[in-house]
Amino acid sequence: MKDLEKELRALKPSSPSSEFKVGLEEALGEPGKLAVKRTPDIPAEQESILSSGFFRLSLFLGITSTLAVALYLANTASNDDAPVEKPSSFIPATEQDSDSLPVADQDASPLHGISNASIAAFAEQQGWNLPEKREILVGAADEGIVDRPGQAPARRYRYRFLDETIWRNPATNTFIHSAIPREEIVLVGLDPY
Amino acid sequence: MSIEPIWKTWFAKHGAKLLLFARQQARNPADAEDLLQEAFVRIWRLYGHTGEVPPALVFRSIRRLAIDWVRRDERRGHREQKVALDAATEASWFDRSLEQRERNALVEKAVRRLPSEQQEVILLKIWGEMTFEDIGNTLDISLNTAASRYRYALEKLRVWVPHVLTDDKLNL
Repeated sequence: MKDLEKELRALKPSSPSSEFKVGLEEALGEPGKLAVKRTPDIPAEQESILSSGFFRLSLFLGITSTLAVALYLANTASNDDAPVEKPSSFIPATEQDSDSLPVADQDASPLHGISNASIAAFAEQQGWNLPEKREILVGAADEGIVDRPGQAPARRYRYRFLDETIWRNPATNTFIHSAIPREEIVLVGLDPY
Repeated sequence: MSIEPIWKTWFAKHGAKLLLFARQQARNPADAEDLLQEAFVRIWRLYGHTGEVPPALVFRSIRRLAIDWVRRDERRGHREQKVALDAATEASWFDRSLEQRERNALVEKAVRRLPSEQQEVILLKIWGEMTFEDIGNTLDISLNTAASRYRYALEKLRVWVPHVLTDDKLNL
Protein backbone atom coordinates (compact mmCIF):
# COMPACT_ATOMS: atom_id res chain seq x y z
CA MET A 1 0.00 0.00 0.00
CA LYS A 2 2.81 2.39 0.90
CA ASP A 3 4.46 1.82 -2.47
CA LEU A 4 1.22 2.54 -4.23
CA GLU A 5 0.66 5.72 -2.24
CA LYS A 6 4.22 6.76 -3.00
CA GLU A 7 3.70 6.15 -6.70
CA LEU A 8 0.48 8.13 -6.66
CA ARG A 9 2.17 11.04 -4.89
CA ALA A 10 4.90 11.01 -7.52
CA LEU A 11 2.30 12.04 -10.09
CA LYS A 12 2.19 15.81 -10.32
CA PRO A 13 -1.17 17.44 -11.07
CA SER A 14 -1.14 19.62 -14.17
CA SER A 15 -0.68 23.28 -13.30
CA PRO A 16 -3.23 25.88 -14.35
CA SER A 17 -2.28 27.64 -17.57
CA SER A 18 -0.90 31.16 -17.60
CA GLU A 19 -4.03 32.30 -19.48
CA PHE A 20 -6.09 30.96 -16.63
CA LYS A 21 -4.02 32.90 -14.10
CA VAL A 22 -4.48 36.09 -16.10
CA GLY A 23 -8.22 35.50 -16.14
CA LEU A 24 -8.14 34.80 -12.43
CA GLU A 25 -6.37 38.08 -11.74
CA GLU A 26 -9.00 39.95 -13.71
CA ALA A 27 -11.79 38.14 -11.93
CA LEU A 28 -10.31 38.90 -8.53
CA GLY A 29 -10.07 42.61 -9.23
CA GLU A 30 -9.29 44.89 -6.31
CA PRO A 31 -9.68 42.28 -3.55
CA GLY A 32 -6.72 40.48 -5.08
CA LYS A 33 -4.53 43.46 -4.33
CA LEU A 34 -5.49 43.80 -0.68
CA ALA A 35 -2.88 41.46 0.67
CA VAL A 36 0.50 42.06 -0.86
CA LYS A 37 4.08 41.22 -0.09
CA ARG A 38 7.34 42.85 -1.00
CA THR A 39 9.71 40.81 -3.05
CA PRO A 40 13.31 41.81 -3.64
CA ASP A 41 14.27 42.40 -7.26
CA ILE A 42 16.52 39.72 -8.68
CA PRO A 43 20.04 41.14 -8.81
CA ALA A 44 21.72 40.78 -12.19
CA GLU A 45 25.07 42.01 -10.97
CA GLN A 46 26.62 43.60 -7.96
CA GLU A 47 25.72 47.15 -8.95
CA SER A 48 22.08 46.25 -9.30
CA ILE A 49 22.19 44.59 -5.92
CA LEU A 50 23.35 47.78 -4.35
CA SER A 51 21.07 50.07 -6.23
CA SER A 52 18.00 47.88 -5.71
CA GLY A 53 18.24 48.22 -1.99
CA PHE A 54 19.34 44.68 -1.41
CA PHE A 55 20.10 45.56 2.17
CA ARG A 56 16.85 47.28 2.74
CA LEU A 57 15.00 49.28 5.26
CA SER A 58 13.79 46.25 7.18
CA LEU A 59 17.11 45.99 8.98
CA PHE A 60 17.60 48.55 11.64
CA LEU A 61 20.23 49.79 13.99
CA GLY A 62 20.00 46.81 16.34
CA ILE A 63 21.70 44.70 13.68
CA THR A 64 24.81 46.81 13.92
CA SER A 65 25.92 45.38 17.20
CA THR A 66 25.08 41.78 16.24
CA LEU A 67 26.87 42.05 12.93
CA ALA A 68 29.89 43.64 14.46
CA VAL A 69 30.24 41.03 17.19
CA ALA A 70 29.76 38.12 14.78
CA LEU A 71 32.25 39.49 12.29
CA TYR A 72 34.70 40.13 15.06
CA LEU A 73 34.41 36.52 16.28
CA ALA A 74 34.63 35.13 12.77
CA ASN A 75 37.66 37.20 11.97
CA THR A 76 39.56 36.17 15.07
CA ALA A 77 38.58 32.50 14.65
CA SER A 78 39.76 32.28 11.05
CA ASN A 79 43.03 34.12 11.50
CA ASP A 80 44.63 34.12 14.92
CA ASP A 81 47.64 36.06 13.67
CA ALA A 82 45.66 38.86 12.24
CA PRO A 83 45.48 42.01 14.28
CA VAL A 84 42.33 42.23 16.32
CA GLU A 85 39.98 44.75 14.90
CA LYS A 86 37.45 46.58 16.91
CA PRO A 87 33.88 46.49 15.63
CA SER A 88 33.94 50.20 15.13
CA SER A 89 36.82 49.88 12.68
CA PHE A 90 34.73 47.79 10.26
CA ILE A 91 33.16 50.81 8.70
CA PRO A 92 35.25 53.70 7.50
CA ALA A 93 34.53 56.81 9.45
CA THR A 94 33.76 58.74 6.31
CA GLU A 95 30.95 56.32 5.51
CA GLN A 96 29.34 56.91 8.85
CA ASP A 97 28.45 60.42 7.91
CA SER A 98 24.85 59.84 6.99
CA ASP A 99 24.24 63.49 6.22
CA SER A 100 26.36 63.19 3.09
CA LEU A 101 24.14 60.45 1.66
CA PRO A 102 20.95 61.04 -0.28
CA VAL A 103 17.85 60.41 1.78
CA ALA A 104 16.82 57.50 -0.46
CA ASP A 105 20.14 55.77 0.15
CA GLN A 106 19.84 56.23 3.87
CA ASP A 107 16.39 54.68 3.81
CA ALA A 108 17.54 51.67 1.86
CA SER A 109 20.48 50.94 4.11
CA PRO A 110 19.88 48.53 6.96
CA LEU A 111 22.47 50.21 9.12
CA HIS A 112 21.75 53.76 10.00
CA GLY A 113 24.23 56.16 8.48
CA ILE A 114 26.16 53.48 6.57
CA SER A 115 25.77 53.17 2.85
CA ASN A 116 24.79 49.93 1.15
CA ALA A 117 27.95 50.04 -0.91
CA SER A 118 30.11 50.01 2.20
CA ILE A 119 28.24 47.11 3.74
CA ALA A 120 28.30 45.06 0.56
CA ALA A 121 32.00 45.70 -0.06
CA PHE A 122 32.87 44.80 3.48
CA ALA A 123 30.72 41.65 3.50
CA GLU A 124 32.29 40.49 0.25
CA GLN A 125 35.81 40.99 1.56
CA GLN A 126 35.08 38.98 4.66
CA GLY A 127 33.57 36.04 2.76
CA TRP A 128 29.93 36.55 3.71
CA ASN A 129 27.30 35.32 1.29
CA LEU A 130 24.55 37.58 0.12
CA PRO A 131 21.82 37.64 2.75
CA GLU A 132 18.86 35.27 2.51
CA LYS A 133 15.70 37.22 3.05
CA ARG A 134 12.13 36.21 3.57
CA GLU A 135 8.98 37.90 4.65
CA ILE A 136 6.66 36.07 7.03
CA LEU A 137 3.07 37.17 7.37
CA VAL A 138 2.36 36.96 11.09
CA GLY A 139 -1.20 38.16 11.05
CA ALA A 140 -3.74 40.47 9.53
CA ALA A 141 -6.68 42.33 10.98
CA ASP A 142 -9.65 44.11 9.53
CA GLU A 143 -9.91 47.25 11.65
CA GLY A 144 -13.18 48.39 10.20
CA ILE A 145 -14.20 51.57 8.47
CA VAL A 146 -12.29 54.76 9.16
CA ASP A 147 -13.09 58.35 8.21
CA ARG A 148 -10.67 60.33 6.11
CA PRO A 149 -10.94 64.11 6.16
CA GLY A 150 -12.00 65.37 2.77
CA GLN A 151 -12.18 61.90 1.27
CA ALA A 152 -14.52 58.95 1.13
CA PRO A 153 -14.33 56.59 4.12
CA ALA A 154 -12.05 53.61 3.84
CA ARG A 155 -11.69 50.16 5.30
CA ARG A 156 -8.45 49.74 7.18
CA TYR A 157 -6.46 46.49 7.17
CA ARG A 158 -3.41 46.02 9.32
CA TYR A 159 -0.81 43.42 8.33
CA ARG A 160 1.95 42.30 10.63
CA PHE A 161 5.09 40.89 9.06
CA LEU A 162 8.36 39.52 10.27
CA ASP A 163 11.27 40.36 7.99
CA GLU A 164 13.83 37.66 8.41
CA THR A 165 17.40 37.95 7.18
CA ILE A 166 20.20 35.43 7.50
CA TRP A 167 23.80 36.11 6.62
CA ARG A 168 26.09 33.11 6.24
CA ASN A 169 29.83 32.86 6.17
CA PRO A 170 30.72 29.39 4.85
CA ALA A 171 34.42 29.84 5.57
CA THR A 172 33.88 30.22 9.29
CA ASN A 173 30.58 28.34 9.48
CA THR A 174 28.98 31.38 11.04
CA PHE A 175 25.60 32.91 10.54
CA ILE A 176 23.70 35.92 11.75
CA HIS A 177 19.97 35.79 12.05
CA SER A 178 17.79 38.86 12.20
CA ALA A 179 14.01 39.00 12.63
CA ILE A 180 12.37 42.38 12.56
CA PRO A 181 8.67 43.00 13.10
CA ARG A 182 6.94 45.33 10.67
CA GLU A 183 3.40 46.57 10.21
CA GLU A 184 1.65 47.70 7.07
CA ILE A 185 -1.66 49.48 6.99
CA VAL A 186 -3.75 49.31 3.85
CA LEU A 187 -6.66 51.66 3.32
CA VAL A 188 -9.23 50.57 0.78
CA GLY A 189 -11.44 53.42 -0.31
CA LEU A 190 -15.15 52.73 -0.09
CA ASP A 191 -17.79 53.82 -2.52
CA PRO A 192 -20.33 55.70 -0.42
CA TYR A 193 -23.12 54.94 -2.86
CA MET B 1 11.69 46.03 -4.33
CA SER B 2 8.44 45.06 -6.01
CA ILE B 3 4.98 44.48 -4.64
CA GLU B 4 3.23 41.20 -5.42
CA PRO B 5 -0.28 40.18 -4.38
CA ILE B 6 -0.15 37.32 -1.88
CA TRP B 7 -2.75 35.35 -3.80
CA LYS B 8 -0.23 34.70 -6.56
CA THR B 9 2.17 32.98 -4.20
CA TRP B 10 -0.72 31.14 -2.60
CA PHE B 11 -2.07 30.02 -5.95
CA ALA B 12 1.34 28.92 -7.20
CA LYS B 13 1.48 26.59 -4.22
CA HIS B 14 -2.06 25.23 -4.24
CA GLY B 15 -3.39 25.91 -7.76
CA ALA B 16 -2.46 22.58 -9.33
CA LYS B 17 -4.13 20.44 -6.70
CA LEU B 18 -7.21 22.65 -6.69
CA LEU B 19 -7.47 22.36 -10.46
CA LEU B 20 -7.10 18.60 -10.19
CA PHE B 21 -9.99 18.45 -7.76
CA ALA B 22 -12.03 20.81 -9.94
CA ARG B 23 -11.42 18.54 -12.92
CA GLN B 24 -12.64 15.59 -10.93
CA GLN B 25 -15.73 17.44 -9.82
CA ALA B 26 -16.54 19.11 -13.14
CA ARG B 27 -17.96 17.57 -16.24
CA ASN B 28 -15.34 18.91 -18.61
CA PRO B 29 -12.00 20.78 -18.50
CA ALA B 30 -13.54 24.13 -19.40
CA ASP B 31 -16.02 23.78 -16.57
CA ALA B 32 -13.19 22.82 -14.25
CA GLU B 33 -11.36 26.08 -14.81
CA ASP B 34 -14.56 28.09 -14.40
CA LEU B 35 -15.32 26.14 -11.26
CA LEU B 36 -11.89 26.78 -9.81
CA GLN B 37 -11.98 30.45 -10.73
CA GLU B 38 -15.38 31.07 -9.21
CA ALA B 39 -14.59 29.13 -6.04
CA PHE B 40 -11.24 30.78 -5.56
CA VAL B 41 -12.55 34.30 -6.20
CA ARG B 42 -15.42 33.78 -3.76
CA ILE B 43 -13.17 32.55 -0.99
CA TRP B 44 -10.38 35.03 -1.62
CA ARG B 45 -12.79 37.96 -1.55
CA LEU B 46 -14.00 36.78 1.83
CA TYR B 47 -10.75 35.82 3.48
CA GLY B 48 -7.97 36.92 1.13
CA HIS B 49 -7.15 40.07 3.06
CA THR B 50 -5.79 37.86 5.84
CA GLY B 51 -3.26 36.39 3.41
CA GLU B 52 -3.78 32.95 4.91
CA VAL B 53 -6.61 31.00 3.33
CA PRO B 54 -6.81 27.28 4.12
CA PRO B 55 -7.00 25.34 0.84
CA ALA B 56 -9.75 23.22 2.41
CA LEU B 57 -12.09 26.21 2.09
CA VAL B 58 -11.52 26.37 -1.65
CA PHE B 59 -11.87 22.59 -2.02
CA ARG B 60 -15.18 22.80 -0.21
CA SER B 61 -16.32 25.71 -2.33
CA ILE B 62 -15.40 23.86 -5.53
CA ARG B 63 -17.45 20.88 -4.49
CA ARG B 64 -20.52 22.88 -3.55
CA LEU B 65 -20.37 24.88 -6.75
CA ALA B 66 -19.98 21.70 -8.76
CA ILE B 67 -23.13 20.30 -7.16
CA ASP B 68 -24.99 23.52 -7.95
CA TRP B 69 -23.78 23.48 -11.52
CA VAL B 70 -24.80 19.85 -12.01
CA ARG B 71 -28.29 20.74 -10.79
CA ARG B 72 -28.36 23.75 -13.07
CA ASP B 73 -27.28 21.64 -16.04
CA GLU B 74 -29.90 19.04 -15.22
CA ARG B 75 -32.52 21.76 -15.33
CA ARG B 76 -31.21 22.70 -18.75
CA GLY B 77 -31.73 19.18 -19.96
CA HIS B 78 -28.19 17.82 -20.18
CA ARG B 79 -27.32 20.19 -22.98
CA GLU B 80 -23.96 19.46 -24.53
CA GLN B 81 -23.36 16.90 -21.85
CA LYS B 82 -22.07 14.24 -24.18
CA VAL B 83 -19.55 16.56 -25.80
CA ALA B 84 -18.43 17.67 -22.38
CA LEU B 85 -17.94 14.14 -21.13
CA ASP B 86 -15.94 13.23 -24.23
CA ALA B 87 -13.71 16.25 -23.69
CA ALA B 88 -13.26 15.40 -20.04
CA THR B 89 -11.90 11.99 -20.88
CA GLU B 90 -9.25 13.46 -23.19
CA ALA B 91 -7.60 16.00 -20.89
CA SER B 92 -4.85 14.62 -18.71
CA TRP B 93 -5.03 15.31 -15.00
CA PHE B 94 -1.33 14.94 -14.41
CA ASP B 95 1.98 15.95 -15.91
CA ARG B 96 3.46 12.99 -17.67
CA SER B 97 7.19 12.61 -17.51
CA LEU B 98 8.81 11.28 -20.66
CA GLU B 99 10.44 8.30 -19.02
CA GLN B 100 7.26 7.15 -17.29
CA ARG B 101 4.63 8.31 -19.72
CA GLU B 102 2.97 4.92 -20.12
CA ARG B 103 3.12 4.10 -16.46
CA ASN B 104 1.67 7.48 -15.48
CA ALA B 105 -1.10 7.08 -18.02
CA LEU B 106 -1.91 3.69 -16.59
CA VAL B 107 -2.06 5.02 -13.03
CA GLU B 108 -4.18 7.98 -14.09
CA LYS B 109 -6.55 5.72 -15.97
CA ALA B 110 -6.93 3.58 -12.87
CA VAL B 111 -7.62 6.62 -10.67
CA ARG B 112 -10.24 7.86 -13.11
CA ARG B 113 -11.84 4.43 -13.17
CA LEU B 114 -12.62 4.64 -9.46
CA PRO B 115 -16.16 5.46 -8.36
CA SER B 116 -16.57 9.22 -7.97
CA GLU B 117 -16.91 9.12 -4.18
CA GLN B 118 -13.66 7.17 -3.83
CA GLN B 119 -11.94 9.25 -6.48
CA GLU B 120 -12.54 12.51 -4.64
CA VAL B 121 -11.24 11.08 -1.37
CA ILE B 122 -8.09 9.81 -3.08
CA LEU B 123 -7.49 13.17 -4.72
CA LEU B 124 -7.93 15.12 -1.51
CA LYS B 125 -5.79 12.71 0.50
CA ILE B 126 -2.93 12.10 -1.92
CA TRP B 127 -2.61 15.37 -3.80
CA GLY B 128 -4.62 17.67 -1.56
CA GLU B 129 -2.54 16.43 1.42
CA MET B 130 -5.55 16.71 3.68
CA THR B 131 -6.36 14.79 6.83
CA PHE B 132 -9.37 12.48 6.89
CA GLU B 133 -11.05 14.92 9.22
CA ASP B 134 -10.62 17.77 6.72
CA ILE B 135 -11.72 15.50 3.88
CA GLY B 136 -14.81 14.60 5.87
CA ASN B 137 -15.62 18.27 6.40
CA THR B 138 -15.03 19.09 2.75
CA LEU B 139 -17.19 16.27 1.43
CA ASP B 140 -19.79 16.35 4.22
CA ILE B 141 -19.04 12.80 5.29
CA SER B 142 -17.69 11.35 8.50
CA LEU B 143 -14.00 10.83 9.16
CA ASN B 144 -14.53 7.06 9.19
CA THR B 145 -16.35 7.12 5.88
CA ALA B 146 -13.54 9.13 4.33
CA ALA B 147 -10.96 6.68 5.67
CA SER B 148 -12.84 3.62 4.48
CA ARG B 149 -13.41 5.08 1.01
CA TYR B 150 -9.71 5.78 0.82
CA ARG B 151 -8.88 2.23 1.82
CA TYR B 152 -11.30 0.73 -0.71
CA ALA B 153 -9.90 2.97 -3.42
CA LEU B 154 -6.34 1.92 -2.68
CA GLU B 155 -7.32 -1.73 -2.72
CA LYS B 156 -8.87 -1.30 -6.16
CA LEU B 157 -5.90 0.61 -7.46
CA ARG B 158 -3.56 -2.07 -6.18
CA VAL B 159 -5.41 -4.62 -8.29
CA TRP B 160 -5.72 -2.41 -11.35
CA VAL B 161 -2.21 -1.02 -11.35
CA PRO B 162 0.33 -3.84 -11.62
CA HIS B 163 3.49 -3.53 -9.62
CA VAL B 164 6.53 -2.13 -11.35
CA LEU B 165 9.42 -4.51 -11.23
CA THR B 166 12.39 -2.77 -9.79
CA ASP B 167 15.89 -3.42 -11.08
CA ASP B 168 16.61 -5.63 -8.08
CA LYS B 169 13.60 -7.79 -8.77
CA LEU B 170 14.43 -8.04 -12.43
CA ASN B 171 17.91 -9.29 -11.59
CA LEU B 172 16.59 -12.10 -9.41
